[in-house]
Amino acid sequence: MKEVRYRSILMVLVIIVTVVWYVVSVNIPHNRIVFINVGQGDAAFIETVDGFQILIDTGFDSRAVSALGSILPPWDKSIDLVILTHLHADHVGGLRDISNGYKITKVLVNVQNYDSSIVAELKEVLSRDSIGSVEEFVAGESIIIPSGVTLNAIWPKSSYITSREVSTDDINDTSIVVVLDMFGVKTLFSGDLELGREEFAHLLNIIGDIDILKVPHHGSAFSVSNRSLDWLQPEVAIVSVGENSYGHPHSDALGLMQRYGVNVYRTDVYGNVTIDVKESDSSYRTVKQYD
Amino acid sequence: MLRFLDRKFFLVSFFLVVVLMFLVGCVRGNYIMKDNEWGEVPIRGVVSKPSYENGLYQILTVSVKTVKQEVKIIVNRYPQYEYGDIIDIWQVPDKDMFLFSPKLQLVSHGGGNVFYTYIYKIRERLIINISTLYPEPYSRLILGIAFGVRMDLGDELEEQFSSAGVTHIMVASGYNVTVIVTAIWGVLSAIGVSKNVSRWISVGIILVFTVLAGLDPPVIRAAVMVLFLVAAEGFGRQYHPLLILCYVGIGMLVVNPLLVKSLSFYLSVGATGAIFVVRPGIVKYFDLWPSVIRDDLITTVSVSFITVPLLWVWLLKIQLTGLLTNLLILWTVPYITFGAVFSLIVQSVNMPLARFIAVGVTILLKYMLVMVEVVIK
Repeated sequence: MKEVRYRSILMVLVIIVTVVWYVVSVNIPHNRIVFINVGQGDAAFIETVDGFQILIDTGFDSRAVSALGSILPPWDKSIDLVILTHLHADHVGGLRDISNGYKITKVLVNVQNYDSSIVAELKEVLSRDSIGSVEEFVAGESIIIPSGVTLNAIWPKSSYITSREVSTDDINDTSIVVVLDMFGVKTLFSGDLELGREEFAHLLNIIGDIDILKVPHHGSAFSVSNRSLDWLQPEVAIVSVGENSYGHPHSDALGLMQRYGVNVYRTDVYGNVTIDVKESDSSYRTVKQYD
Repeated sequence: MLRFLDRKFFLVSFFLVVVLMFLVGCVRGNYIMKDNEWGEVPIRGVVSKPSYENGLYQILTVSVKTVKQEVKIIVNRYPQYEYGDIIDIWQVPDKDMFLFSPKLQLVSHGGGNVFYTYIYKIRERLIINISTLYPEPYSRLILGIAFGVRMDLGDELEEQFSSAGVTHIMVASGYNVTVIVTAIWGVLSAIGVSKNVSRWISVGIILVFTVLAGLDPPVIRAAVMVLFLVAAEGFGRQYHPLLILCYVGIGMLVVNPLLVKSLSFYLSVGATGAIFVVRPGIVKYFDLWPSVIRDDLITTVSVSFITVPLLWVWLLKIQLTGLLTNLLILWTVPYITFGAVFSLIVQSVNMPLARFIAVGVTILLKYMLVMVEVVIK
């Protein structure tokens, strides 16, 4: 009897302490972008003050869904929008685990006739009940969130993805490129499309000046160039990268960004990198989380 | 005199059974471990368990009928294979029945056993339902703790649990089976179900759990022991746990002599044996300890008498952190199991209420993770 009483008291104490700690540590919605450390791959979580949640890419495996578990409170099991920039496993592989645990209102993806095992897997996942609708997102289209935050698609043109056969090599070039405008703070997400290459120089003019750059293609040699940095002038650059055999991030790209005075944060060094955006004066601060 | 004869008869018969099983095991072991005649590639096999995903890879267990062997294959995470897939393997396994990244070709689906296919469909549903209720990494922890469904927790968490000496909590073990059986019997007797019906329900649930947990040696060992207990109760016979443990252990070796190479088999049998042999002898030394921790402490110390030297011999590491961690977190396991099962039942009736229960269970899991972190620091 005494033992039961002791156990009950201990249990109640533990629950009270943990509840207090838990409530204190749970984040309330605010304007933020979290570049999730998913190893070699991309996943960025965006949340606005009114609770609208966007995920751009899902990483390769379950690391994105694990991170969401700590970013979101345990009772929040839905995401408004998922954008899959292109059909490589390190960008879309995590969607299956995410759709197991979260209701997704809309997925934006440009699925082409590209034959690979990951596309077959993705098509099965996209047909699940937990995913509301699946739509394309091409240059010229925008998403305006009630709080006033906008997402503008810069690339690909509709004609680009329908008029040609897409192979494994150039699937990166079909990446959805979006500019997130969060109360004046502009962030560029370009998947694996290498903005440092000449053939995409015309996009720089459309994008213009930005504040934060998600460095394309995990910091490959052609991810940035003098011309792209001249046009974009980012203050902060995030390299979403992990252990890999491709030599990412390339020393040329890192060196160039250093010369331009860009503050570079690598997810393999800092873990999740969070940008908190202040609505009142369009300022932001970078929070690094060391793993 | 009669008692002495009974005892003598018992010992002799026990000895004879052990010798017989040993001989059968040797013959069978010799048959299984002989050089396999794989023939020419491709080797055709059937995926005999759900794949285990680990980072960039998936680990497949493939049953090859021609040589009556199970082969472990590590391949890229995509394309994903599922239970019952018939595949051609373009490489001969090494003597440990292992292959890394061979060329595989899917021949067709649906080559599995109907019963297992059904159970693994339940497993898939269970994973989705738990993931819907619980955030990561808690959902994966619950799947391991409460249902024996082992999933990749990520390198960091796996390492933490290993350093804290509590990996056994998140894999299916005899402890899980005991907790589940206790829970079933408790619930069934509370709602007035007869003992006879309870027994049959327990047997059914244990069998399903054993398959769900991937038919790992510790679960099979525990499940068979519990089935013996249920049978003994049903037939009104006395239950000798140590004797049953010996029979079950040896029986498993007869069925699969390759278990002689399985650390989890030795840990499972050794730890259970320690509870029956060591525990009664050391209880008296813990009289002065507070009752709230005494029971878990005695069990943990008893088990450590076997597991610590075993781990030292096998892995050349001495791990005493498990003593403290087990003491701090073992008591939460039954509550987590009951809570998880309860939240799943409520989920089908009322989602908000199920989420509320899930938050309570998540708090216990958070406590568990914090304690693990504190101990290893």
